[in-house]
Amino acid sequence: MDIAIFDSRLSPKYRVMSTQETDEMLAKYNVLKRDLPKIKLSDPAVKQLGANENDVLEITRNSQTAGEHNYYRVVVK
Amino acid sequence: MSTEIPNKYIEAFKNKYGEDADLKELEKLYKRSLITPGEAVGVIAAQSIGEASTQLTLRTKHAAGLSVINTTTGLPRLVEIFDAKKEISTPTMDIYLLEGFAKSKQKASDFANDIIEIRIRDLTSSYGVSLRKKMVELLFDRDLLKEYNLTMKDITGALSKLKLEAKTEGDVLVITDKSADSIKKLIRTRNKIIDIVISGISGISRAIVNVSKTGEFWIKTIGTNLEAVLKLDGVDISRTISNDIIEVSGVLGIEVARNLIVEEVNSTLMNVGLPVDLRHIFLIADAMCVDGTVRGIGRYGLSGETESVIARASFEVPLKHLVEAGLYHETDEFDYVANNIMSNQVIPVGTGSVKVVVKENGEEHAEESSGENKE
Repeated sequence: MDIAIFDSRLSPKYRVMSTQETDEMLAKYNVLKRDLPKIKLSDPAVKQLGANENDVLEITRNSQTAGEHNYYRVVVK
Repeated sequence: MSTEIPNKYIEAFKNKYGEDADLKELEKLYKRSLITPGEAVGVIAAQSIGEASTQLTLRTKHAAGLSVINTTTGLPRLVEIFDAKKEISTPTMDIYLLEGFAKSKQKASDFANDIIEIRIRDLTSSYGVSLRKKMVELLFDRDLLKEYNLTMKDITGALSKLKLEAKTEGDVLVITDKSADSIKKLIRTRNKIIDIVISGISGISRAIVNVSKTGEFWIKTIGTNLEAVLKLDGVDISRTISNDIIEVSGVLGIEVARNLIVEEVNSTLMNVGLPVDLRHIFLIADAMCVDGTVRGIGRYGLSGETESVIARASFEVPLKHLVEAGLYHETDEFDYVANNIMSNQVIPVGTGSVKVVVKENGEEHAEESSGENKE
């Protein structure tokens, strides 16, 4: 049985980005994919999302200082 | 790149100055509040938390002998979090229950009793071994059995996995081990038997029912096993959390671990009355979680993984790093702070982080580029 980890109070919202969205985001911030923060393929959130290696996750965090904002992590082994 | 103003600020601005307020004014204010590119934010974060922890060293108080669960707080807790210790000194969980359980004290304490790890050793009043009869004898405490709602049958059931001959005579359990030929072996068998978990969740040694201001019952435990607890019925997944960051990163993911670092550091500092701006803690938490696993800061974590040999050597144990760098033919690009200071060069911080780049195709002759864009 999977634990409903996304229900956790501390869990942000996750979304797997499409290739086009990823490219747009990378161009916007002028970074390369390998420079993004990483998330392991074995991470429970990645497993439950069904994301694959090299996918980029858009993570919507709710910060006390900045409100809702996006963070990006690339899935690595 | 144009400036994006967080919605939170736009809303607050509109609330104060009306719906048709001039957002250009907000943009001006927002841009002014942003940190300057190239600012050494890491150093500022280190100073901010360093200042608080110097104060903490002086304020350590001892609260031994209290009946409440005593969790590590203050400086030891901070060190533990920042070092990303695998085994923290006081692992605890806050377990919140769903509607049906949370309002009834009876249900909450039943729940607490059910999750406490009970081994055979906790139920026996005495035990002994006999080499002549090749047996281990355990005398169970009837009152304890009653308290935990267990019978001798539960115990023999748990023992069946061991493939040993077990007989019960009232409160006495006799286990015969034919293969034992020495007292040492018998004692080893005995130790194996008394360590068997009869009921509860392994790892949880105590569970105490607390009541919140709203009359809700929740449970604080000594010892953690988040995965097993979250799988139980009646547990409110949204609020139940362990204070073991490494465990949380494995069960709930790196993002939750990152948020937990922020929360734990912040609450530790708040509890001793030394609040530090959240942004500093965000920066450190993000740096600790950037590669998908929780890494400590310090010699074996972030600082120990800097690419620059000289920067590493200038931090701690210089000889080790220099000798290793020599052995493995490492190079130093001189693009960090410490090595540039040592060689009397401009450090890549603030105005020093700006470089002039000439594009060869001639379309642009010169362009300002920040030090971070090495590509």
